[in-house]
Amino acid sequence: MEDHEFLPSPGEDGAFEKRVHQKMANMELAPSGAVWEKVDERLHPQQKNRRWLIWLMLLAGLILGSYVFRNLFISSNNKKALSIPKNQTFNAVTSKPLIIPNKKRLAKPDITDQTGNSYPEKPPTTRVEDKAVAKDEAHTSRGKKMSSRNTHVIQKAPHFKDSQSAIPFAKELKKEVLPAVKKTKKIRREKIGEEENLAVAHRELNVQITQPRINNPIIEATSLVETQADSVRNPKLAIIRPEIVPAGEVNTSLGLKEYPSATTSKIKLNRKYNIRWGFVLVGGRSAASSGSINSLFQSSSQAFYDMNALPSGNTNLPVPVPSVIKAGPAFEAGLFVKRQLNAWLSMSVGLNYNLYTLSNKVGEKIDSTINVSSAFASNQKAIDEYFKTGNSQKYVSRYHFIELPVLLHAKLSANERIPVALELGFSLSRLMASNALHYNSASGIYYNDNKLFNKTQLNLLTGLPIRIFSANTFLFEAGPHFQYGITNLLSDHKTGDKHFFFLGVKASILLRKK
Amino acid sequence: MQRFCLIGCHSFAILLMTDSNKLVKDCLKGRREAQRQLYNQFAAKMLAVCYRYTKSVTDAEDVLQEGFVKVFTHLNQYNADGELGAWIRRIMVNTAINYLKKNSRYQAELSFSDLQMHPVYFENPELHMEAKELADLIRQLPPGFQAIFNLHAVEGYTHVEIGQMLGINEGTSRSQYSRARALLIGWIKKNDIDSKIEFYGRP
Repeated sequence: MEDHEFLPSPGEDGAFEKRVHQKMANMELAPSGAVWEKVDERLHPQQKNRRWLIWLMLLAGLILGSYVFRNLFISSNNKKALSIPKNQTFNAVTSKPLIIPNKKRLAKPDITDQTGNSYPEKPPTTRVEDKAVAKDEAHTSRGKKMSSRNTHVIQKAPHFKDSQSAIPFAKELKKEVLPAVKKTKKIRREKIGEEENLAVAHRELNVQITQPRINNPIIEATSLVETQADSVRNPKLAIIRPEIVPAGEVNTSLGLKEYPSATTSKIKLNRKYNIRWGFVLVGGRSAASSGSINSLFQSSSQAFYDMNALPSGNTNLPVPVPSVIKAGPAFEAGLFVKRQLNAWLSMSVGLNYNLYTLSNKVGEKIDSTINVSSAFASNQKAIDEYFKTGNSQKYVSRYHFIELPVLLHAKLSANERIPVALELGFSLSRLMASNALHYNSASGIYYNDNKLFNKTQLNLLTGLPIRIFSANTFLFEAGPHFQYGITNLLSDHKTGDKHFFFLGVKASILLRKK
Repeated sequence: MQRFCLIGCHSFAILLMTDSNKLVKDCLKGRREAQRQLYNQFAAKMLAVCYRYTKSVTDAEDVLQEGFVKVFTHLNQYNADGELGAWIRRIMVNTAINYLKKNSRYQAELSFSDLQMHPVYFENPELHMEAKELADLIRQLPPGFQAIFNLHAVEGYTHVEIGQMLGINEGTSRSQYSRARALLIGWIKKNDIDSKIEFYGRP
């Protein structure tokens, strides 16, 4: 049916149907508002999907950035120090984990406990059970309780006259232990406690070496290590595999120093090591000079020119001098990933695009080929277009960099009463493109040749970001920013020593979790 | 004078079609304002269509929603030669029929049994009621009768086309329609008598 018109079937009059048709033709009923909402929702569901896609991409970028950041800038030791199990108990005073060395390791090899366990003289295994120490009723010769749970083997401990003589042995022991620890890097996450134990043990060992009598459970456990012939405290050095003892289960039967945290409630590790990302925008002025920062505000530097390309012929003639370089506006934009190291310090890694500009006066442009001689090459170089010497027009040189900055941020006040931080760092940048001109004194022309630049630059960065605005979801900071190119901008020192300066205002927005 | 009227009507029709084409183009571009405008232009009439095929306003709105989604989804298939309202109406009718077939509440009553004997009424009573009253009477019919009566008497489909749409024989469609027509005429007459009694105090 193309048109809404009733055609009576054979045998039908059709008059009734026509009346019904006419009656129904203009009937209207107002739908509720929910109908259009549902129609609209079904027609345009892509927007929500796109939001999820955007968030997914951001999350992927954040995960990738944090992975790169962690692997590039955080050592494996720090990883062990930071990755502490949740059930870790801490000493409230020293902020060290509460560890109780396995008591049996302190025992002399010739002391047999009443449980009849033997201790083969093998290097310790790397396998550690991180369960709580079982309370056994084994007794030592002094009648004190002793844990019979021992999943480790101990090395036969040598005897030393005093703690100082034990230091070389301890150092050698370190060399043996640490490689073994490193070999076990493939242990799963559940065994991080083991690595942490080793790191703690390592620290304890260092304490023994440097300050053997301070907080040294081995030395203090004199009841087991005393020999019949020697009443001097012997630091019995063994491969310590301390076990984590939950709070309230301190076993002081060996006469060990009772750690205060054993009686306090568990202190949960404050996980402030979150990684956040943000974006940055910098605007200011850039200059290139041989070192004076005044070039940012004055025209004190001459354009890049080859001093060795002297004009041929009469050398008494004055050498044409290139025009001076003027500082120009500069701009930076990029993203960064920031990680809090402690209450004071944080580190950020970013990826920026930098645009620096300089300007100088040149003459008219000539679109023809000319051969120029250079101190860099024995042959002459053909230039397709160049500018004559003169002051007829202003030429703006643009430098496009991709930069990888690494910054350390230090708060001036931990409690954030003073909303100012100090940031210091360095960056590696790569010159991607430039239309900058070099001056050839032999020919008296300006021409473009990016091979004369040192494309990889190392820069020193510093700044004073001030917290301007803080909200639940983001933090806005702004402040002065200074950058200095440590490396020479020119690839050959014969042409001079030029360094980029940049001074401007940096604004950054750091995104926060809700 | 007549020529001017014809020219005026023709121009007005062209203007309307031009506006409709522009509206369709904007809807095809995905502009929500244009889609909302098209919906507002035809929603009221289309809900009336859906209302006649269903037993409740909720069901009618469900059919309307489904129908307009199909309209916007397949708007690129609209041929500008025909009227946009008629094209949308056909989509709504098909959507309503599909809704009746799929909805469990209607499936049990949607029987198209072939009636061997059916009464034939040649009466053509006048319709002295409002459109909504007539629609409510049509909705009182069993779902099968209701659908066939709507398709033939209101929409103008032939029994052959109805048979193809509903998957029944032409004869079944005819017989079902005749039965529906007879029922409806009886109700209309009774409604007229009741109205007279109410108004005049006697039939």
